[in-house]
Amino acid sequence: MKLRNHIKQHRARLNLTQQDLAERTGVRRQTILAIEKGHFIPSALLAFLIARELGMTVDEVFEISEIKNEQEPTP
Amino acid sequence: MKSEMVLMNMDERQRLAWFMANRGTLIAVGAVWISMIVWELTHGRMPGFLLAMVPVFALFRLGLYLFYSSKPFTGDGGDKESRLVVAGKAAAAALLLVASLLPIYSVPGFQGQDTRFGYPWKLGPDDAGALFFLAITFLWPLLVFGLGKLGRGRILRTLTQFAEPLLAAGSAVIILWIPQLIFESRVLFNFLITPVTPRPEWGCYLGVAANGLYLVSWMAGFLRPQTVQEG
Repeated sequence: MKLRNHIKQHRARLNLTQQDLAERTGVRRQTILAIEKGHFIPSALLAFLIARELGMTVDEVFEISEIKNEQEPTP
Repeated sequence: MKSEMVLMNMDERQRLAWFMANRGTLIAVGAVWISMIVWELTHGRMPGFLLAMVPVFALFRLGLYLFYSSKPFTGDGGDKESRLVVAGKAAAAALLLVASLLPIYSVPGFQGQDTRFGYPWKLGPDDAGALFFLAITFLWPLLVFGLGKLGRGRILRTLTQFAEPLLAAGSAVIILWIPQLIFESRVLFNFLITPVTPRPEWGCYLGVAANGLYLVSWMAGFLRPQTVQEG
């Protein structure tokens, strides 16, 4: 499973830079970059903060995507 | 406990990277440790200490793991100083100020003389150095609060964080030491006063207690459970 996000699109819609969003959520710009690229999965609290700053809900900003070749665990 | 990660104002991604760096360092240290054991054994020496410390470190690590497992990581803004801690420090600062106005020691009267009281600000009014020394001893919390108001920069925050307990302990020691400091010099020049022992007075007790309160408040803030997330 992978956590996808639409932060970049929503940022563009609001004309926010990564630095702006980072300052509003109390993290480093590199952390926003890492989240956008899917290199870092944020904590629930940070995910909520990001969604709030983007004026969206968490599931509008983040979504879980299944990886096709991932094997289902056997019960 | 306020970690170096809090003091450096790291966010959650940086903290994770920091943990990974610590893990890597631990592995490297472990490899060096094992190499040292092998080195000693290959040279026909028994590495008693090196071997004995292996289970000690393992148990220490397990203990720390269990300790931190039981701590909450709630992300409730615990990195900020609690009101109780700030109140404790402010009360300590006020008490220290009051202590500076009370007599620190007294000298019992002898040969018909009255008991003499030693007030801090009357100890060396002509000596600017002594006055400055006393100001630092009794008014140091104001200096720390002032520094805190200057900004919340990383370096300043780290400096004040570690300066506070040192200043509190130093101030308490100096308050206890003031009578000795004054009488030592007199003993050298006036043998008549030698049998007179200064007694600590209210100011001394209050000053030491105020520094103790400050130290306890600082400790409470320092040992407060910290959050992983800093939002």
